[in-house]
Amino acid sequence: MRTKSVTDRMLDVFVYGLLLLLAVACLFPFLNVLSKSLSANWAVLSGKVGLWPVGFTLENVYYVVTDGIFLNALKISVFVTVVGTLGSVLFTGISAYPLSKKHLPGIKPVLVLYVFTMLFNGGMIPSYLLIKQLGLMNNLASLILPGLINVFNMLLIKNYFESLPESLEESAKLDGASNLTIVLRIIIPISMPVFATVSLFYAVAFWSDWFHPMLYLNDPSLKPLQLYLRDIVLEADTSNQNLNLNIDRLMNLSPEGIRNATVIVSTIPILLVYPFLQRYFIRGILVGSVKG
Amino acid sequence: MQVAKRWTVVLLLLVLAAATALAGCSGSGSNQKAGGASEGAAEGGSTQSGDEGGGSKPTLKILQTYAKHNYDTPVTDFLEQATGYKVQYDMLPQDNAQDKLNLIMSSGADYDLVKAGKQDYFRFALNGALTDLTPLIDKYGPNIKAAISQKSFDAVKVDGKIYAIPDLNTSYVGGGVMVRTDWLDKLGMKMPTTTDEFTAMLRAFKEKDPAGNGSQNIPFTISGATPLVDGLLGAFGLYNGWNPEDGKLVNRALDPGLKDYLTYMKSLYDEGLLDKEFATNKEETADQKFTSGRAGTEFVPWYKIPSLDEALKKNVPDAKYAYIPLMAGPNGEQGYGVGQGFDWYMIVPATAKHPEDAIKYINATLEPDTFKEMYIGKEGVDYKVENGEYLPIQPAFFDDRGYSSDYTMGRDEEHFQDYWQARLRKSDAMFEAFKQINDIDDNFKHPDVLGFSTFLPKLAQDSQKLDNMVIDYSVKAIVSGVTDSGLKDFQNQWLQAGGEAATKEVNDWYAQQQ
Repeated sequence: MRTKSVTDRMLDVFVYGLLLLLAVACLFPFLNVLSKSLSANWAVLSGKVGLWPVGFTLENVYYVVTDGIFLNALKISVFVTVVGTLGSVLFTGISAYPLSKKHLPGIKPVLVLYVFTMLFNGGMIPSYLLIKQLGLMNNLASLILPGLINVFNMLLIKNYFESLPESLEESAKLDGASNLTIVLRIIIPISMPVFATVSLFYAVAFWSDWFHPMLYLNDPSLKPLQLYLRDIVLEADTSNQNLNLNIDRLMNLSPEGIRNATVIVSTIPILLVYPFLQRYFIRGILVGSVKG
Repeated sequence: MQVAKRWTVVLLLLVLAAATALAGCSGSGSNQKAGGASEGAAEGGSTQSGDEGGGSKPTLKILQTYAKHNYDTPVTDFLEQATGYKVQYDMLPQDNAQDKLNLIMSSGADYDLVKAGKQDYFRFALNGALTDLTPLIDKYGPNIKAAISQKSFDAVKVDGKIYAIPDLNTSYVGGGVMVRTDWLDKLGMKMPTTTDEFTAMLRAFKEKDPAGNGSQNIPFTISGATPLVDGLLGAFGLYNGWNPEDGKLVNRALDPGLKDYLTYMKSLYDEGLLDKEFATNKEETADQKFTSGRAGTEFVPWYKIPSLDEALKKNVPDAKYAYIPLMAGPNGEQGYGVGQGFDWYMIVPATAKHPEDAIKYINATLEPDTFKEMYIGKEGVDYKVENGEYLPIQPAFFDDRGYSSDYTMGRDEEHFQDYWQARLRKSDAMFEAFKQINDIDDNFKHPDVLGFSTFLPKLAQDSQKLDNMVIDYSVKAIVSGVTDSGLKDFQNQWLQAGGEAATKEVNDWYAQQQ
C-alpha cells in the first residue's frame, strides 16, 4: 500500500482548500440574493444585507408565492416541461431505433438529413412565420412541437442502441417474439440509463426556455416561469433605456425585496429536483463515450 | 412485473399531464383573475356586453406593452363597463419588445389597436402598415378631437394624414441634487444658490464632517451612469440633450458649456468633494451611500424618494433632506430641462379587423367623465378634491387606479396633469420633493424642443449611441481632466459616429419651425 508523502499531503490540502474556496465563492451570490429576499426593503436599499437577512421578514416571499400570476406561470412551465419531455423522449426514441438497425436500407441519407438540421437553422423570422402560418401562435404547442426531436439526443440514443449486443434480440426472436415485443420488453427496459439522461436534457431545456415563449406567446396568461422571472428582474433595468419606463411605471416599480424573492422562489423547483438527478447527468454524459 | 410497474408510472404521468392540459391549456380568453388587485367586482357587474356574433360590439384585440399586472386590474373592468367593449389584451415582452413588434406588424397583425413608440410608429406609417385614422376620427371621434390638441395631432401627421392617436406625456422636472439639510443646519449654512456656494457647502461637509462619518464621509456622490447631473447642468446652459443657441439646436457634445461643466466637476473631484469612486458606482451603490448616511448630497430622481426616504430614516432617524432648487453658474445660467412629447402612439394596423370600433372605443374612453374616472376613480371613494387639488384616498386609489396610466390611449390633455397630481401624492415625501424642483419659476424650466418633433430617422437610429459617447467621455474627463485637444478629438469622433448627420437633420427640422 502506498502511503502519501508529506508533499503529497500538502498538495492535497492546497487543492482541497482551493476547491473549497471556489465552492464558497459560488455560494456567496446565492446566499446574498436569498438574504435580500428575506430582508426588509430599506435594508436592501441601503446596502446593509450581506450573507444574512437584516430586518427578517417573510412578506416578500409570501407576496410572490400567493401572486396569481406567479402560480399561473409555474403551472404553465410544469405543464410544458412534463408534456414536452414525455413527448420528446417518445418521439426521439422512435426515431432512433430504426436508425440503429444497420441492415435497413436508406439509413445513411436519413442520418445526413438529420445532421443537416443541426448545422443550419432558418433563423428567428422564418421560424416565426412558420409558426404563425401553422396557426400555433398563442398556443403552448408552439413551445413543444418545434423542438420535439433534438438530433443530438437522438444520436445519443441511437449510439446506445447500437452498443447493445445483437445476441439479445436474436435470442428473443428465436423464442418467437415479435418486433414490438422486443422493443417494449427488452430494448426499452435495458435502455433506461440513456432514456433517463435524455429526459433530463429535455426537461432542463423545456424548463429554462424563455426565448420561444417570448416569440410565440402574446397572451399574458400563457407566460411560463422563466419568462415571468426575466420580466420581473429586468423591470427596473433603467440602464438599457427600456422604452417601457415612463414616470408612472417608475413610481410603481416592485421593491427590491420582491424581485429577489421572485428569483429565489423560481429557483426552488429546480433546486429540489436536481440533487436527485445529478448522478444521471454525470453518468449520461459518459453514456455515449465509453464502449464496454 | 417490473415492466408492468414501469408502465403504470408512465401511464399515471400521462394522465397527470392530460389533466393539467385540460385545466390550463392554450388560447385566448381563459385567463383567471390574478390575485391582488382584482376587486373591481362591484363595477365589473355587467361583464357580458355582447361580443358574440350579434353585431353589437365586437371584442377588441389590443397589443399592449409589458406590464406586470397583465392588464388584469379593476381598470379593465371599469373600461369594459363604461365603453361597452370587451377587450382582450396581449402583451409585448419586457425585453426585445421592438423586435417582437416588428415581427408582429410585418406578418399581418390582426390586432385592432397597438401601442407603439415614436420610431416604430413613423416607420410603420411610412411603410403603409397602418390605417389612416383621419376620416375615422372625423366621423366617430368627437371626444378625441376635444381631448387632444391640434398641436399634438400635427406632431403625428405623416403626409398630412393622422395615423395614430398620440398619448401625451406628463411634463415635469425629473430630478435634481438632493442634500441633507440637517447637515446644513448643523453647520449653520443656507441652501446654496450658485455653484460657488455649492462648492463651499461641499468643502464644509468635507472638513467639518457634520455626521461624524470619519473616513466614510462623502460630500457628494453620483453614479457612473449619470456624470451629467440635472441642476448642475443647468448652471452651464446644458439643460436638455439638444439646446437652442443662436437659432440652432446644439447637442451637449458640441456645446461650449460642456467644457465648463466638466472642468467644474473635475475641480470637485480633485478636491475630494465628489465621491472618488463615482465612476464605478452603480445607481444602487450611490443610493446606498446616501441612505446609509455616508453621503451628504446625491443626484436623485424624485420617483425613487419613497424607498430612499424609508431607508434613510431607518438608518439615520433624525435625517432631513431637500432638493437644492436652483444653482446659478458663472454666467448666471440656471434651470432644468423638461421633457415633453408623447409616451406612446396608438395605432390601428392596416390588417385590423375592427378599425372603426377601435376608434369608437378610444372615443368612448376620452369622454371627459369617463377619462377622469378611469384615470383617478370615483370622487369620495378613490380621490377627493381640496382647494382645487386632487388627493388620493389611500389605499383605495392605488388598489383601484394605481395602474391607470398603462391603459391610456390619448389623454384629456387639458386636465390630466391636474389629475396626475393625485398619483404623486402616493408618498408625501415624494410630493414634497417634487414640488421643490417643479414649483420654480417657469423661466427656469426649459422644455425639450425635440419632444414634439416629427420623425428624424438618423437621430432615432444613433441617439442612444451618441448619448453614451457623451456619458463615457464625461466620466473620463471628470476623472482625468479636460484638455482642448482631448475635447476636440472626442467631438470629432462624435461627429463621425453619426453626430454630424443627426445635427443636420435636427436643424433642418428646427429651421422649419422658426
